[in-house]
Amino acid sequence: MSKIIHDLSIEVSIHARNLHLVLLEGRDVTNSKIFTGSKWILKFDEFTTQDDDLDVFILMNGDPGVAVSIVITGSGLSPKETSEQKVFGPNSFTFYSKEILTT
Amino acid sequence: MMVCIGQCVCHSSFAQNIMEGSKGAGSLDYSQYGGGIISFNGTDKKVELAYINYKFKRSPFKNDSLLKYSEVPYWYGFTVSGRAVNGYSTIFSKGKIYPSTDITLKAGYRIFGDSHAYLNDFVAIREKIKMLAIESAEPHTLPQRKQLNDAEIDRLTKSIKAPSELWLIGRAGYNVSKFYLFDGTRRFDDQFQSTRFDALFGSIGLNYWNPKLFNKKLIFLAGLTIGLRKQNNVDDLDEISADDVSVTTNQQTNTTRSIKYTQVGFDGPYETFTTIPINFDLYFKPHDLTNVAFSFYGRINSFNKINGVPYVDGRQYPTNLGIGVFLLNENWLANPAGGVTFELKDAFKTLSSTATFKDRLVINFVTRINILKYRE
Repeated sequence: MSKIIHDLSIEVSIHARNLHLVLLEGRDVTNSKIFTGSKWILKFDEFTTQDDDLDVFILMNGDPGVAVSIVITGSGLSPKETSEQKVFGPNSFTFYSKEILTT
Repeated sequence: MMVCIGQCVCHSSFAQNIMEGSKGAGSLDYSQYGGGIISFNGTDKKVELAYINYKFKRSPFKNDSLLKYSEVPYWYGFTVSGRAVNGYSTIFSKGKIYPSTDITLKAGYRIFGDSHAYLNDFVAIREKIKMLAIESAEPHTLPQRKQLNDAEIDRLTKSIKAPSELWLIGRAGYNVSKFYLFDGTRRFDDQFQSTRFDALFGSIGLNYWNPKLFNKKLIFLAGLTIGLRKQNNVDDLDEISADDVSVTTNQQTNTTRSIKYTQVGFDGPYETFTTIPINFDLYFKPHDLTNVAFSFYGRINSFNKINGVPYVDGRQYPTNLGIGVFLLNENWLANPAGGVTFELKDAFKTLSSTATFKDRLVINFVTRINILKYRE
């Protein structure tokens, strides 16, 4: 059953040199990324899921061995905020894949 | 041998400039974010305000009739700094500060390294990863299938060729300083001469970033710049202080009063020269080491005239060579906490054949003192 997530925000710390692919529920939203100078942000007033979770996928690169933090917040997510770290591999790439339950 | 404490490693939020070095020499501008900072540089007795604005330029292009976007990062910024020309001893004991002000504009533009535009292999792998991730996001995809997809995405991600980046870096600025020169051969009243030094400077160069150099587990950053700069040798002169004492006597009470006036100046042959500074830096970190990076650098200061007069031996290329060990925050090259450098001045004895190794060796303990940080 689909759910509507309000004020969905995805923040990736400055350690990422670039976000090469961002998928939400399999939809390519890479072009929605904004670089503020100190972090990467994707914001959506509303986002409708296909089922009872939100699938987030990010392919990014940065300095090998450096940890990048990903914070996802939104009304309708359980928990409302999810925070994780990923470490860039020797070729500078890493990916983040997460299913976040909805309320 | 000289030992200095407190040289600033970097210049703005975390480190918009990794190793500027003493007097602004250096070829690396490893910016990865914007913001501003006020910092203190102990060696140069310098307080500096630095600001960087970091952006991405997006341009559409067609690849196999598909509309894609090329993304080119660039940044621009400025630094304004004030430093004392004279040493700590006369600052604290005599209360004198001879100021030097420096304004620098700088910018960087990535000229190579857009994975989307240049690395067709990357585009193909990214499309495969995308298809797998889309399948995993489908509501009816079974957990076992998702696990297999994740394993394949992991394999594909690791198979991406490490991208390198080449940046064009430019700096330009203006420096003004005021101080007194001492010449004991002049008549008494003219021995201290107020001197003003104005200089324009600029440089251009390249920075190269490679996360896996020669396919080895080594992240590598290299810089090479060439420029033009008017310089003086006031930092190499002997700093002296003199106390002028005058005594007046009250004729009625017969009381004497001593009035002491302290003057601080620089003694020695003052020289100005226009140099072509060539700087190179190699800065690297083995992947297997945590929070430690190493550097090798060179500072060539080519000149052929001193005080406007052609140098007797023609154009000279005095070269300083150095090595450094740096401790990092967050295991990140862009965020050094401090370190130590060993620099051999005039490494090939171009200017003086008699100076000993010990005289020419300078050890800098490098630290960073951030007074105020601003992040966008």
